[in-house]
Amino acid sequence: MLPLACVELVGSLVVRARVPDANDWNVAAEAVASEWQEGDAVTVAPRWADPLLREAMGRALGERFDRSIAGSPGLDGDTRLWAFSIRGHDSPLLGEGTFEHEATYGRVRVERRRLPGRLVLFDFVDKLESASATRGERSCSLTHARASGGGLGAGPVMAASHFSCGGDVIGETVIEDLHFEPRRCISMRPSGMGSVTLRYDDVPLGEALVLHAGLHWVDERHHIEPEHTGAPVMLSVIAGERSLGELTHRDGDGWASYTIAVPEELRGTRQPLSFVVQSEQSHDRSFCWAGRSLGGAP
Amino acid sequence: MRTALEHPARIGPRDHLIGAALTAAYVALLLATSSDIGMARDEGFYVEAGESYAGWWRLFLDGDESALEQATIDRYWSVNHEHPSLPKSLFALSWIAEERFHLFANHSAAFRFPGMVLSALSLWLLYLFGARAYSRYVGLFAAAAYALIPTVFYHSHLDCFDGPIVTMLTWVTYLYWRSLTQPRFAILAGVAYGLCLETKHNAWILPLVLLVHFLGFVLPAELASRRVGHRPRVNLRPDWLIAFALLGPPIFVMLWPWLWNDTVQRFGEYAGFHFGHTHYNTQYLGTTYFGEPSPSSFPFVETLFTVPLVIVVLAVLGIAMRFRAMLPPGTLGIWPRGTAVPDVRRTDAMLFGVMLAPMVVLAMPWTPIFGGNKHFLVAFVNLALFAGIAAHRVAVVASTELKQHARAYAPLAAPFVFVLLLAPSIHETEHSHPFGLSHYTWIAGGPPGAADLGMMRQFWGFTTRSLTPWLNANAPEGSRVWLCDTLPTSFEMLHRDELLRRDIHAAYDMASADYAIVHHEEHFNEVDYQIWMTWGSPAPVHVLTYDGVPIISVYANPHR
Repeated sequence: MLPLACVELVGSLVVRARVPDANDWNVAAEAVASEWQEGDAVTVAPRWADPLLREAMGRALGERFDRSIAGSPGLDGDTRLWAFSIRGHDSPLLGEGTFEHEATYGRVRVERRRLPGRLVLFDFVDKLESASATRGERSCSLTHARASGGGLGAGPVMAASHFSCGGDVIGETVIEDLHFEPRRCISMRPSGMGSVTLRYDDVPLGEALVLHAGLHWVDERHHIEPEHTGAPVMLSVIAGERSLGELTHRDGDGWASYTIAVPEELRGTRQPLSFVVQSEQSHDRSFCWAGRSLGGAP
Repeated sequence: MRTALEHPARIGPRDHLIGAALTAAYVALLLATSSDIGMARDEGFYVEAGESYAGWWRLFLDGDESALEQATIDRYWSVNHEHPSLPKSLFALSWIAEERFHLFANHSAAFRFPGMVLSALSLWLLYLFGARAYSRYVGLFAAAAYALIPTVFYHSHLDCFDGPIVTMLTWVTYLYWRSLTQPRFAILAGVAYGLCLETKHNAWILPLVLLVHFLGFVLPAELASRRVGHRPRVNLRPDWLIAFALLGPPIFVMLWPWLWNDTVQRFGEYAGFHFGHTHYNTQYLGTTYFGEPSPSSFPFVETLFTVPLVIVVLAVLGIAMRFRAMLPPGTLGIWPRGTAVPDVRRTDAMLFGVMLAPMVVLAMPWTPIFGGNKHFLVAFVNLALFAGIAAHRVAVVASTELKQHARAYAPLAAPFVFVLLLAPSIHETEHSHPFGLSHYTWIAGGPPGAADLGMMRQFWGFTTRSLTPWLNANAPEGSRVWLCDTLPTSFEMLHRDELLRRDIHAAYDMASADYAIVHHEEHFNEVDYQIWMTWGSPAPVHVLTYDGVPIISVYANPHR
């Protein structure tokens, strides 16, 4: 027993000694910031270290470190991934792309990976204000108000600029997905009065549309535990009068990705695209999606 | 030192002095370190209740007859009536004493002091219990081991019920145990049970545990003993249970003015609250639980991860050493090896049962999820006793070895073993302060290891206190802070205790605040994302960490 006491005592001291300090994070973030390029993405392992990464990256990158990076819906179109890690963890995203570079700053390791990096022709979240929206038969108006709300259990906060549709809104937000991850996306709750439509008049089309969708965690969790009771939510993508594809989100899917191949004859053209959300249920269906129109390799 | 566990020396005034000294020393330590710990969420509720009850107590102590009228009682006692009144009455009386005599260093210490004393009294009890049942060494080690469990140290500070109920449950168990051979203790046990009921509803299950012990162990053993002609040693009439039944409920009602009117209906309301208790969100081994089924391994893994490993291993060894004595009467043959013999009161079985009962209740899939280990701290009392038994054995072995090889040092063996076995506990407890709820021991990998394993980071929003140096140094004059999980009363206490600049205020609207904080619990992540949307930036300006693990993120409003 006496040796065990010594081992536990020394072990506790070792745990403390191995903790990365704030300077390690800052030096690593500054090194990354010095090489930061448009199209770079960042991740950290383990996930609980994310606030430390964001603090350091915010300090190093300033306003360039925004929610499109911190709440990225996926890596589609990103060209490089900076993977921070501590305590010997590896990010699950390290399976993406190819290894380029690795450096260690104190107890923080940073690996850079080259991603396939397809050309981003159009980002539907970034260009949301260029769209028009209808809810059922009713047109929605683009309004500019102070972002409001917030608090435990209060749900996602909409961007200051959003479409106002009577009692509901369509707008950019960051939801917490089923695994508590941030997902920057367009909130489009299904309506009890018919479909909800977001229309972009002039979208350049390339090889594919890559979409991601999910529900705010509370709505999805309530319906998968103890049983699936939430109605599926459908998102249809229509170019002019032609359906390009449809995705269906069911409770338990979490934040899921969908790829819609663009028909050959539409590639390289500009088309009006409509995104139509429908569900048999409107309450507790905080549907949110993000997507990009992607070309080939840049 | 004595080598035998059984038949300890007569316990006398000197032992009570030791118990009193342990209690006093612990209270002094708690008082000295109290201001480092911010008021937890529930403490804020109990401060509000304490201040309200104090209003009634002032009337009552001044002899105002209106104090006994229902309208007056309801006015003061309706607050927080989901919990009994004894601890909150003591918080109220302590607050009145502070108002009149300025006894404490700050306001929160005044509210917390009764909780500290009630919690620390468990050490006195634990010492006496161990000394009477096994040896003084066992009692002393158990008291120290319990006091130095990091979460026990944390909870013992608070104006809450979790420390006090441990003392009450232990006191009732101790008096029950004594009443088995000395029936006069039954009356005291009944009184103690009334006070226990009046402290927290954990008291409800104790009689059942003791009844199982009495009917399953004590009674059959005594009957078998008498059948072979031995003289009576144990009182076969359950005087303790009669006393529980006759004295418990009246004391419970008498000390709780809210129950003086509409007693049955109000008791139903009180009981209904706990029978229909909501689930608390709890992160455990990588999963955040929101409802049934409660993970059955939770209390056991939580014990392994929050009690210093040496104490856990000692307790397991102590249980193994005494296992033969825990067997039900007539089954000793299934464990023929060993020398442990059950005493007439079947002490080992009782301690094991009282240790296991709350953990088993919480392990049931249908039990509401409470999270943390505060609801089974009483298990740690008994765990510490078993650890003491093994520690005693280690000391005996060390002493014997030294007598053979270095006789001059033999007298130092027992204190050396005592200190060395408790060294990890001392270190862990010292280091855990003031992040007691975030602390995990070495076997879990410390706080970062526990974060890797997906264990709960904190609850109650009390860590805002640890931000005050940063806020005091960085927040511009008149800043408003959105508080996340910190109760406004708890935040205001930072002002009352002069720990936070008076010009820094709480904000109740995130968008118009100057700062917003997020207490890191997995299901609170949504608050981070709300702030990103409200203020535009996902980057906190400061992250409060404990061993490198984020505890609170602070965001600054760029538009302020």
